[in-house]
Amino acid sequence: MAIRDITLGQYFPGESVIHRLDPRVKIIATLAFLVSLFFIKSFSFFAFAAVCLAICIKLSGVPFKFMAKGLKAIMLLILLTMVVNMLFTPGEVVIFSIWKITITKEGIYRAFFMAIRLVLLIFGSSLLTLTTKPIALTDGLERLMSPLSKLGLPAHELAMMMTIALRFIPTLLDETDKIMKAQTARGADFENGNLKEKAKALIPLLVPLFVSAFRIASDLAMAMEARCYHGGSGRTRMNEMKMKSSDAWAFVLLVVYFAAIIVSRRFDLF
Amino acid sequence: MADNILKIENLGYDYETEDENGEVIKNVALKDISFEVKKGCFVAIVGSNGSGKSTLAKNLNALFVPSRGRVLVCDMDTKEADPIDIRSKVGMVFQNPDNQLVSSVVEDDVAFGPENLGVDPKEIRDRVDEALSKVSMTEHRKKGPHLLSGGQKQRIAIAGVLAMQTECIVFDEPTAMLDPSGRKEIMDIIEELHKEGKTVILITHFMEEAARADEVIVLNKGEILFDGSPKKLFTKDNQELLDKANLKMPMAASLAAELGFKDVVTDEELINAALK
Repeated sequence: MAIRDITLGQYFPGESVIHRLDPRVKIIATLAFLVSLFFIKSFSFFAFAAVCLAICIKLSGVPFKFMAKGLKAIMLLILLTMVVNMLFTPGEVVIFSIWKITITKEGIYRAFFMAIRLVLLIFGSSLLTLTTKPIALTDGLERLMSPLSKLGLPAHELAMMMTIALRFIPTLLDETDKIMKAQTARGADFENGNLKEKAKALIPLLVPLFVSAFRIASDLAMAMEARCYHGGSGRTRMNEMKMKSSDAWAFVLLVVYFAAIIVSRRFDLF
Repeated sequence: MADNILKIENLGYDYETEDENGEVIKNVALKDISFEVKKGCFVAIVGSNGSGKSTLAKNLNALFVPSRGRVLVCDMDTKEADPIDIRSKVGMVFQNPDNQLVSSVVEDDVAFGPENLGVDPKEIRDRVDEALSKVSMTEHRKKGPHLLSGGQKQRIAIAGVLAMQTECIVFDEPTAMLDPSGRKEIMDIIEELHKEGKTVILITHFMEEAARADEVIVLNKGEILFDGSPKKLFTKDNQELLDKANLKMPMAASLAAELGFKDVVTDEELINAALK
């Protein structure tokens, strides 16, 4: 069945240094990188950030083609941002103006600035999801958020929900496939017709799917209870996360990088 | 009585539903059930659809608590004791292999039970490895459950209960949704576990499976019709009782009765008797 072969998330399997880093370190590093992009004031430091990211991508062994895939989806957004910035940035140095449209040097500068920032944002965050299994990501998030559970944030519950959602995506896809075939056998038509008709044809698919999702949920809840599930308190984990020396080094490099970005704000480089 | 793992005394259970007027309607699912299960025993509970066998199973580990009477698990009353203590003694494997696995990695799923019990991480690792090798699924430990067959998923569910190291395992129709080869795999594991001294309670509607137990309890409309060894149950004299419960004799037993062999209920016993 083709529907079974889908890959969850966009994980790119590998054994590189980046893959093997502790997910917590990767999450923090990605967040820090994303934040740093908003501190940067000059193109030269964008170049610095880009080189740092490029080194990480190279180390991870993820082909550039994979990275670019994520970019495709938001190409339109980037172009729109560029156009808007170009048109509406007030500036002194007018390059040319037609009718009411004035393009200034500042506008072009800003447009490229925003575009580079967006591209780096996408590359940075997809490096995280490409090199970390969804399940490890959930685990890492749970552990990072666990100090916040004292403030009332349900860290464990959120992570559990994500784990279960990941586990049941293929099951529900299977279920969808089954219902679709059953309804097609009874004459339902999911392929032809205009948008309105197609949307209408989904009702006999969605209603049974919801019913079966609720049935699965109630079965699963019972099975979890039977296995002594009682929330996050008093729970241990088989896979303890231990920081390795490579994680410590990654952290040091991250601090150096962040310091460089902060310092860069003091200088007015182009 | 320390050797009794389970003691069921006059158990009754009602499902309550509300009608349009908000009045509570009681559906009696179990009536006056009493039996005991000794340590290391293999008990099969059989009955047709709606006989209350699944309801009974869920009463055995505090998923349901009795409406009347009581259930004692290792001398703890399921109404009063902490459900966690009960469930760490009596584990359960359900019918649908898809709807009882929690994690998208096999070994993490097996670890789920012991993690909930707060077992030390190193010990969880050992228990998971041991449980997976017992159900011969070690090579699949890093896979996602959606890539496994029904029988394999059910083996993972069994490993999940084994890793909790419960005294007793209740199997609630574990083979009902499997193909014949998956069914055989699971039955072989269940017999193996019984031989190793685990207490096994098997809910089933396959008489061939029930014939392999030490003791069979026949349920009909929420009441016990018969409680005894399969050799006593599957005889010509009990044909009327079996008809009443809407059950069929296992093929081996009815063939043996035709041939005049005595005390034969399983396939192996039939072959042995025929060879003599």
